[in-house]
Amino acid sequence: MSVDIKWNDKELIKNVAKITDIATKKGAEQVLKSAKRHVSKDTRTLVGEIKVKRGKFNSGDWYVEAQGSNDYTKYYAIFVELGHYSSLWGTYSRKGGAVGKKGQAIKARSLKGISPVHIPKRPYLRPALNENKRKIMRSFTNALDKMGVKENW
Amino acid sequence: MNALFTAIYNKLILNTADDLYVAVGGRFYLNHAPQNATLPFCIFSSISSIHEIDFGEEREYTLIQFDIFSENNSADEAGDILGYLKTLMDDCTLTVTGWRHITFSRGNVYPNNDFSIVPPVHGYSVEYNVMIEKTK
Repeated sequence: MSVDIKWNDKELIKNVAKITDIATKKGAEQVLKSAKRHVSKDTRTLVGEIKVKRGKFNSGDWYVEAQGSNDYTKYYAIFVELGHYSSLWGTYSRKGGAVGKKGQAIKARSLKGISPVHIPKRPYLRPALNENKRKIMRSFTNALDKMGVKENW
Repeated sequence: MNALFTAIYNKLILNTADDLYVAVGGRFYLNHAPQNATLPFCIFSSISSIHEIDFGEEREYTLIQFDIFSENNSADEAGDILGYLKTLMDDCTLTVTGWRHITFSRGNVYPNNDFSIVPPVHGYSVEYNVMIEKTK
């Protein structure tokens, strides 16, 4: 007795690529939503600079970025995320020198008398990713279920 | 959370002859360094914590960040402290009151410098993934 199995691999790969792309985009949008909720809104500038972008690959390459790449005029997103040790915030002075207003960056030449301090982190991207990890995994399995691929692995 | 922070702090100060303790002069801070803190120092804090209950088992997955800052013309000091931190904390064993400690594994390491200060500040931010399970 012979058994014929028809295996349309091109069709299968195309479908998997399609659902991977949809699920990844959905996951990135969930992370974006959470990141915008977590981010510090002192000036409301950074909240408008977090975006979902498509990567260089066609399927499943979506990511969330703050302040975009190749824009070297904006660089403080990472300082907010990680915290830093800096002289740029004028409100912090341990020697009682000239102090700028909160949110006002002081140029290097006016730093006399102002001592650098540790500025604590206010993370928004990593908590957003962590709280959505399970939802992202679920959106993948749901998408595969819809396609007919069962969770048997 | 306090139990975890206490466990980490106790680990950091356990041995005053340890390379990390000597390198930062015992200056370990939670969340924020005081304004007049002498460099170098080390700060540790939580980024996020996820609670999970699975068939009666209660677990917490916490992302901890360590920050090292050194004010020095050379990057060597910060690099050395980073090495000492890895030696002490990578896959270490913690004693967390009320919890069974399971894993303490290193994640990403980011450079965190400020060259606008003279002498420049060299720093690193190091992530650790911590999983603890409630003791029954």
